[in-house]
Amino acid sequence: MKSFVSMVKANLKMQVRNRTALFWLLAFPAIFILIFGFLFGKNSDFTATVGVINGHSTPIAKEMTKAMNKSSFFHVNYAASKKEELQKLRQGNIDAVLVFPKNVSPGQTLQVKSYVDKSKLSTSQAVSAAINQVAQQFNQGANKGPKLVAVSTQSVQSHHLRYVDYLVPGFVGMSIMQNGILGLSAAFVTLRERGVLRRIRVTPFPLLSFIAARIVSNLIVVLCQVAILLGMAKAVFNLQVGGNVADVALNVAIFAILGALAFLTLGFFVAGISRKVENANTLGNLITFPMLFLAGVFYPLDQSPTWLQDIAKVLPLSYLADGLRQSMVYGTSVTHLWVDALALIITAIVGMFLAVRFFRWEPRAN
Amino acid sequence: MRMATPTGNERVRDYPEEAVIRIEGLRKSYGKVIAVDGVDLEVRRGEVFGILGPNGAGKTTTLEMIEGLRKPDSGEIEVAGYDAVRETEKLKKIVGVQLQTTALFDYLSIEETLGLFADLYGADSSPERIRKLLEMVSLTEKAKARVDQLSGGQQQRLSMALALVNDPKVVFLDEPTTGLDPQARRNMWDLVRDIQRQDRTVVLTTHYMEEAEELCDRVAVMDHGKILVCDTPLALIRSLDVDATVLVTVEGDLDGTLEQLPGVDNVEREDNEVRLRTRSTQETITGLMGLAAERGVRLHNLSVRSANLEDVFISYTGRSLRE
Repeated sequence: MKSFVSMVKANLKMQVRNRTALFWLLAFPAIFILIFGFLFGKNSDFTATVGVINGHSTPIAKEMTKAMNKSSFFHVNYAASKKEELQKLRQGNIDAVLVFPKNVSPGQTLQVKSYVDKSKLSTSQAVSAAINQVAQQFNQGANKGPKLVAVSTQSVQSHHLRYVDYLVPGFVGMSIMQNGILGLSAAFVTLRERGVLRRIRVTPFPLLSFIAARIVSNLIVVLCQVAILLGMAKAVFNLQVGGNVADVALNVAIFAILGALAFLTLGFFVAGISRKVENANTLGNLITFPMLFLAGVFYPLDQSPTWLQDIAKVLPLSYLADGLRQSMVYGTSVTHLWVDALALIITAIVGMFLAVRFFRWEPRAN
Repeated sequence: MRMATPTGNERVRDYPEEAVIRIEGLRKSYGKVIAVDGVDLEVRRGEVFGILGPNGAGKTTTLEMIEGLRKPDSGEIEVAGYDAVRETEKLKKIVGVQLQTTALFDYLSIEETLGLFADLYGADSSPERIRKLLEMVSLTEKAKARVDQLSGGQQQRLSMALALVNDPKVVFLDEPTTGLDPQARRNMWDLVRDIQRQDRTVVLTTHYMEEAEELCDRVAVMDHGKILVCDTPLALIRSLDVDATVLVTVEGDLDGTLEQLPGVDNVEREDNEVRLRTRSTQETITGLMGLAAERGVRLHNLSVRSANLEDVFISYTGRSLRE
């Protein structure tokens, strides 16, 4: 036991002293979060998706939705069920719901109800303003007749994801993945090729303990990393914490550990089949790079083609990002996120199998 | 640089002829390449035992099988009463190993590295013990330095300290001086003698015959996976019919007559550089002088090199160790 603790301590010392590793562990994801947070934190270039009920009911309603459709700002969805659309709004899948009356007597003002999500402050304001702007066009027609359209805005309260809230947990997941696969495999291949593993092998310290010590120290590092990154995002962008801090921290920690295990085992696998550090890096990037863009780290995949969503379903990073996001932002507990958890556990088991199957202690014979 | 001498334990070498290592019929091949081809050896307690041979002779593979790093295809190895093939875990506790590669963890200091390995062996990792080890290998001033800041010789000495960290009975050194400058090599030799004085058995491999001659109580000459001969360096040299090699630069023509000189077994020529292997140095030189005077030929750079392990190697393999 003393030897195990000693090995874990040594690993941690090495991690902390390795500036390059620290960069990838902390500075790189932190820079990413800051840049993206500041760039997109305000939802600046934004298309609002609006669910429209009874959009074809009256000539003015037709004209108005047509006008909205023409503007690059709006994306109009004609829908039938107000209830469903409001649900979508609450879930953050659409940005506003516009309800036209079924019919209107001639000469009367068209009473339109607009629903927005107030928790999404900047978006809701922008959407309301834009809808009013469109309505104004009808009221200020050439004949300056009676008011044709009146929009009343109501708000729907929801836990809502700002883009930053969406982005940060995804980046943290990305960083766990990169350090698991790229960081570990490069480090391990280096130890093997330079003969350090052999030096360990001639001691009575079991090799499995050596690996376990490596995993334990990596998990400790990951937990610190996640805490620092989320703490920073909380301080800078007021990242949403969906519940009491202790519960959220526990759930986030569970996902961080599951994710780290899944990607560390894949890292061992990559180390096993790579002859040199360069090979490990290439292979690691080959595995991690597509996941960055296909696993919904940068943007939600709800609007993407189904085939893309299907691909995301087999990428472990999707589940880690989702698990972290849900537990961080909504305060969902792991028990309700069992699909995410299970997917990561399965990845870890498959990774373990591959890691053991392809493991090598010795440099490949020349 | 002076190496620290351990206190006490200076004693006359009268170790009993007790075998610490016994090897029988050891074989190992990689695919079609036979690395070790039926090795039998016996290493006695307290001796420095050398395995001498050119690169690729099978020295390292042999050593690694004794250390429990590789499984032999066949054969028996017993080290200090343990079966080195089946009881590798127990074996690892009582032997110290220095590998050919001296790379270690980059971001740990020397003393941290020693402390870590002491713990991995379950050995004493107290600061006093670490200090003693550092003193022994003259790295006290480098205690806080990182491994990657050490010179080649210092790294070699650190890996020597690692080989002693568990207070082993038997110490294996795989080419401990390869790549070192002459001064560092001498330091290493002193260190090996210190280790022997601490009542440990040392087994080392080398392809430097002067190292084997200088350091080893007994030497096994190895080539192509086989032990050609095994004895004390002196006995090996005496067993040769060679007394010395006479080296001389000949200005003129003595062709065909050198072979006739008394005592000469073998003549090698390279331009006008001549090497005469002789059974009797005195008679050969006297004869050579007479011949030169008679023919009016001038001799330069006459030197005599007494027979050494290189000659032993040549006489068994027909080629030089460094080829």
